[in-house]
Amino acid sequence: MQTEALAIRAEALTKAFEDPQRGTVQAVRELDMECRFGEIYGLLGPNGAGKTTTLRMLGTILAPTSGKALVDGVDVAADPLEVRRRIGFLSSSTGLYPRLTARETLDYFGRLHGMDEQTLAVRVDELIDLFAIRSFQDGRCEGLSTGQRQRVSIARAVLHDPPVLVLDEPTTGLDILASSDMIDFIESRRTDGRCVLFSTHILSEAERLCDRIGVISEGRLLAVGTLEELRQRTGEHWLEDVFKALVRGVAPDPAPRDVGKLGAAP
Amino acid sequence: MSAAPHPARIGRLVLASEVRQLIRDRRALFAAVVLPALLYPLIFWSQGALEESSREILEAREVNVALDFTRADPTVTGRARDRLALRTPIQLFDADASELFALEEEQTEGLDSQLAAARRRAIVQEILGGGGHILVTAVPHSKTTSRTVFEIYYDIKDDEAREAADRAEGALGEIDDELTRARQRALLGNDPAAGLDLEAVDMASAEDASGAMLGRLLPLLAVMVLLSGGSYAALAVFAGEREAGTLETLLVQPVQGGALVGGKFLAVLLAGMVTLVANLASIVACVALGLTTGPGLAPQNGGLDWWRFGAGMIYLPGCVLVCALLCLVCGRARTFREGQMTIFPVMILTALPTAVVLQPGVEFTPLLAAVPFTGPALALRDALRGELALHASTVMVATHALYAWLLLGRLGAILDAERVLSGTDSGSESAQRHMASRTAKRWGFIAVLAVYVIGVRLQSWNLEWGLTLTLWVLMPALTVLCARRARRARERHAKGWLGDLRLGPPAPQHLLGALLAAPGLAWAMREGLLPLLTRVLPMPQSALEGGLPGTMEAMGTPLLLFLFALSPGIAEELFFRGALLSNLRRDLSAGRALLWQALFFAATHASIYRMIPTGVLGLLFGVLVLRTRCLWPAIVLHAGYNALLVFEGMERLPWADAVWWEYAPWAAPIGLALFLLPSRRP
Repeated sequence: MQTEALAIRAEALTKAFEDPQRGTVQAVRELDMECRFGEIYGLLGPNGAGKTTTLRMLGTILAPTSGKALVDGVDVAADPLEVRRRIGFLSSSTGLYPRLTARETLDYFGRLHGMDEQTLAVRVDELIDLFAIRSFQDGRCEGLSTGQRQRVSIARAVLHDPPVLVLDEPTTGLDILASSDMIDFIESRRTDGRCVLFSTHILSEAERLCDRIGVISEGRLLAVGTLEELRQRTGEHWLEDVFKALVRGVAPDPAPRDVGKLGAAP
Repeated sequence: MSAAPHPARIGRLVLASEVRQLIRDRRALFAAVVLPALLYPLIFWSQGALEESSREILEAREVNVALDFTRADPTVTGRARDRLALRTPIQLFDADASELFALEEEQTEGLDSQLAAARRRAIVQEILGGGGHILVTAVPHSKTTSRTVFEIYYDIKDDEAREAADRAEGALGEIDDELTRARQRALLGNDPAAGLDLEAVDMASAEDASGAMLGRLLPLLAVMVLLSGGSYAALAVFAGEREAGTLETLLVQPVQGGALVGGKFLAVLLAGMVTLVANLASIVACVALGLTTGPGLAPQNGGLDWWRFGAGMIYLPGCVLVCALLCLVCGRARTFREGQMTIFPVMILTALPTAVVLQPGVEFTPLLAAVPFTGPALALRDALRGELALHASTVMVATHALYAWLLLGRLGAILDAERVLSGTDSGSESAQRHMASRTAKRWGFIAVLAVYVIGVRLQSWNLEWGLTLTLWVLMPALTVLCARRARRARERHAKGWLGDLRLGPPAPQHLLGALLAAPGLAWAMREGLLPLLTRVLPMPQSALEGGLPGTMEAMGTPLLLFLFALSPGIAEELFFRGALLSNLRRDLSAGRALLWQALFFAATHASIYRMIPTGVLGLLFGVLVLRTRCLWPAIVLHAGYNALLVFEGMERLPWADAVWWEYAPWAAPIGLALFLLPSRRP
């Protein structure tokens, strides 16, 4: 596999916040990871583990304190605008304008991406059909249900057809039907040969979707691998037990290097 | 992948989208933009209509007037009775006021005036008890002359009594005029007014007069209206978006921050300008419809010609700056509510400098033109008068464009995603942040209050002891409390707070620098800042004259120097630069910490005229302490500066004729340069 084909590559990615009360808080410590195209990568961890911070650094919303991250070969720190063109970013805190309709929202963000009117109109229609938005396309976002809003949000995130999709807890707050729609959608991206990186703390989602799982706790990536590899490594069968074993067992140990092969990359 | 759009196009898109959303927020739009505009006709109309109708009602009402003319010249009182009867509908009836006359006589014999007033009230009430609204009496002025004194007794709280009193005054006034004229004719012959003729001719055109009137009114009105319309937009566009999370959505789009800020700022400016235009149009409509009655605004006074409204465009830089400031404070706010709370301080910040136009005799100089909000207000005033100074206007436009640019640049930095998120990430922690600086600010307020309440009282009781107690007991106590509390807020145990006061040994070069800079500082204050200030905010004459008060004259030099130079130098530096500044500096940037402590320092001096000089001094001493990391140079400079002021006040400068005074400006740079030398400590 060539390096260029990597969708996401992080090297010793670190984020520290200054907090006058607690001093310097290390949200993410020397995190190394890689995601390939055609792969669904799940970042699994308890609350406060550093999942959101990692994804935000990859999404150029936060600047890394040190380390390096490349998205589709573009350095996050050096050219954030180019990175934003190549990713679709969605988190629970990325809101929708309450006083714009679903269609207007898609039009607006498409124009911000510089799409020309004709392409945009075709693309928006396509997405409206894909996510079954048509029935409420002219309703203001403030009046939509959580599930409808989430569908508009995803449509917004993939409007420019990005090769990399970064989703921060995409099913949080959704009901069963809505989250199963979401899971179907994530799965569909794999067949398109694109990369999806998403964070979650719902184990069944990770179990069902992920080609590879990264377990993160206290800002450190504890282990990476397919579900099978993680099972072998911990000797547990259920992901829940695998997860617990990893989080409890490896906590004091600094940065396990099962992704150490990356260190040799240029 | 599509080509990157031009930032200007992004700005336009953002602007269009924001405007669309603002318009859709019907309720807010109505409250902020439409409602104020509707208010003017309503106020003007209801004011005029109310006055009119109440006058009509009262004029139609019958009033009962009690008369006691028995003691005065019947020829005069007869005429008075006739004239009063003409002011219909009116009922005249005779009453007996002899008790009142008796009271008057008693009072001339030395009755207590308060007692007399109470008794007079009782007597008049009794006389009017039979249904009268007012009582009119007539008595001869004195035994020797034939002049008659009429007195009208009425109750101002009663509408009818007021109306009756007005009518009686009018009727009696007519007789007075007639009598005066008749007497003048009898004394001076046919043309009593032959002495001289006097006529005042207003040289200003009607437009100029209206303009001058509007010029005083409009700047404040414009600021308030802009704040109303602009704040609604700024809150929605920044604080509201941040709260809804759409700002984060925007920030993951491939668009430059500058384009976002530009588009959003233009939306706010547009909302502000629309509100302003709507309000002005409303006023103009009121004038055109004749609803206004005030001077200068009534149509018969000429109103305003259109080019003057055009000249009003000179206020545009002011509008831009107001809106930029609104954007900045709302951009900093994490939630809508937090944004709303910042609007009031902004209102004060903009209205105070604008209110300078109300001050008579303030000239639109290039210097004042550079003062934020004051410059555009003065320019608007002069433009409406039709006498705009060109180079001051140029200065105003240039400086205000610069200020707005700086504010928007700052806004761009704040909208940086990191800050957008740090708030939402640790909202609960943010309350615990800045504990040391919060405690310090709290103690700053306490100190200001303590000095106002305790210090001032002590000093009015006894100047010497009061000052000694304030400076050697009150201030040190505040210092210790503030330093300990701030330390504890940070580290939960209060050890080592003394180190916060920065009382370590000073570097000798810094001490020398302070000694050299003191005369220079006195010189700069005297020759530079104070004359400048007196042009804007003249000190009352009483404060300037007379040097030191008598009590201080009697004290003698050593005591004066101790009380007014040494003690303030030590006590104030310990508190403001020691306890306050060092704890503020823990959580705040240097600039902000300096500003806060200077503000408290100035506020403690409890005088609006000394506010700016003491504020500047506070800043300077603060910079000195941060620079040298030691309190002693500031103490020396403060005490030295105060000592020179004491000598000057006594007119006993030790080096009479003051050759050294001429060297003072030259010593200052050397002294300040010494501060640039590093201290021994790292």
